Amino acid sequence: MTSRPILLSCCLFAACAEAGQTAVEVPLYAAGSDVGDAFPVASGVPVTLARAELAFGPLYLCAGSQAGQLCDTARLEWLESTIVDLLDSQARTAGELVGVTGRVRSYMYDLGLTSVLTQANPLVLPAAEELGGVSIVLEGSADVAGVAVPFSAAVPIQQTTETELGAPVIRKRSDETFAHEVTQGEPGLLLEFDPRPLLENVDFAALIAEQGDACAVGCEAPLRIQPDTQAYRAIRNAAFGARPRFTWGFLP
Amino acid sequence: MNDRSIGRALAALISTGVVACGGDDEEGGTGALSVLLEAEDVIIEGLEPGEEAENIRDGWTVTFDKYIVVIGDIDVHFQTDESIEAEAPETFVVDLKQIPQAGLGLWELDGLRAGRWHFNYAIGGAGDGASRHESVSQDDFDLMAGADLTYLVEGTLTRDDGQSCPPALFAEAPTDASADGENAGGDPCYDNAEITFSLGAAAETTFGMCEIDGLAGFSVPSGGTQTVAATIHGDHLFFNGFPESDESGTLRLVQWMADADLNIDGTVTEAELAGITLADLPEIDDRFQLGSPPIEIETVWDYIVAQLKTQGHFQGEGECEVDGVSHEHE
Repeated sequence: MTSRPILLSCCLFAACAEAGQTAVEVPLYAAGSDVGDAFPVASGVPVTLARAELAFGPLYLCAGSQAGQLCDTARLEWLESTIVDLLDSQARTAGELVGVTGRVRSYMYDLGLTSVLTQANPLVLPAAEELGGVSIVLEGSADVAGVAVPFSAAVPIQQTTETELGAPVIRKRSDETFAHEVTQGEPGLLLEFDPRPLLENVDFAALIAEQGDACAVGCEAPLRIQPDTQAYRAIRNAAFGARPRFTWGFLP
Repeated sequence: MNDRSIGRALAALISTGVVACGGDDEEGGTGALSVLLEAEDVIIEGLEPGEEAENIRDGWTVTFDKYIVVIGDIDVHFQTDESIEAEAPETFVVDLKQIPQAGLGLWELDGLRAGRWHFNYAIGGAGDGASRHESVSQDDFDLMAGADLTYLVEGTLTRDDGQSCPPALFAEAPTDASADGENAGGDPCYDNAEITFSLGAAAETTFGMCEIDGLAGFSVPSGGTQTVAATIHGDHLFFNGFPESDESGTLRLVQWMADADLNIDGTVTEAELAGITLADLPEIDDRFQLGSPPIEIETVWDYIVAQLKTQGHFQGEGECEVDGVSHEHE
């Protein structure tokens, strides 16, 4: 992160402090979705999920409309992590967002693997550790023209030395609408995640074609989706693009 | 940061020393603002392969033949009273390859209250009343106005041992083309040492508030003229992500675009780029960080449009919010 001029810091702390802010703690909840028995992905292939878990956190809510390095100080933050069962639509308590009252206009978060400037490898938070050091675990079955294809995937979503060390991996897009006035007594914030977009662009037909005869009449063992496959990249890219639904004023 | 940027940053810091926060709202005369359009060096000089921060890391060389942008709608707000504002609404279609290295003066705003102002500008559509600058041919202008484009970028990728490895599912290699190896995803590779591209894109974007080194906007001296620059960066097209400030950790990679030449004819087209997703390209691997694009991305063309929407900067390396809401008008 770029260093800021001392003069600016003096100005910010001595003369420009925002008046009227009050410390708040906002309950944070997370939930998955009810996806039903099967849902279609690329080329209409029906997929059934037996397990879909996401390591979520930390989460930062920022005053400016653009998170990232333009959000030096978060207005609200939750520095922990939790596993979200993406197949369970019941809201579960994740923790408490801590910060001050005022308007939030952007967000940024990690998926259990959080990067710090001083280390090449991200910190593996407890939720990701519980998932085996990754952000997403998916297990299910696809039906490709009558051939059952059981599969599993374990995908880390993280910064590397070749990307933006120190920055959260997911940030609000500028074409998204996100704004809320955080007040004292804020009931709670619910984030709802949907696993379906994660598999939306997976080409299961190509995946079984790569297996040769092993899956000609149905795969005997679950296919573990490997890096360097279209399926892996499709899940990884979708994880970057998918966003939870934010609901303010939530009470369990 | 180049010399011009350093100079501007120092000027901005010095101005902070005399204009205390919250204390610059007393009327103290008026001044003027001159706004330059500035092209990042790489637009003029191209991008070389190598290991330095601004090099292309995977061996390709990039040169631009045209880098036409539609830019204008300068919008400034007095920082301590946002109701005080001024605009230079003109938009111009300009080829950044043809403008002076010191920048092209296009907008002047007079009678601004002395003090500190926020700075915003826009990349707009050529079909929305933009004026043709002499650096742009009438044919290109007509093309852009007809399609309401914001960018027309033409250039060439070269590498002596360059290859294209289009995703096998989408490849349309000529029958007489012979593959020579394959990439990490198992897609056959074909020799392709020179590949041209022509990107006519609609990527309307507002930039602002803008800041440089943590200081928002610019200061207007009483009785004088301040000069600032809207700077367009040219290397974002090849970024491996969407950094929002410091670009030093960003890689410039080109092979993915070479692989989008699906028919190996030495030209990458919009149709080819729009016909495949990022997941179809093995090159889009862990080196790419896609978590904060300005728009939703599905196809490779979307990725290009998203990168074009991040190219607007301020005073060289200064940052601007992309499509921020800070200066929306009714």
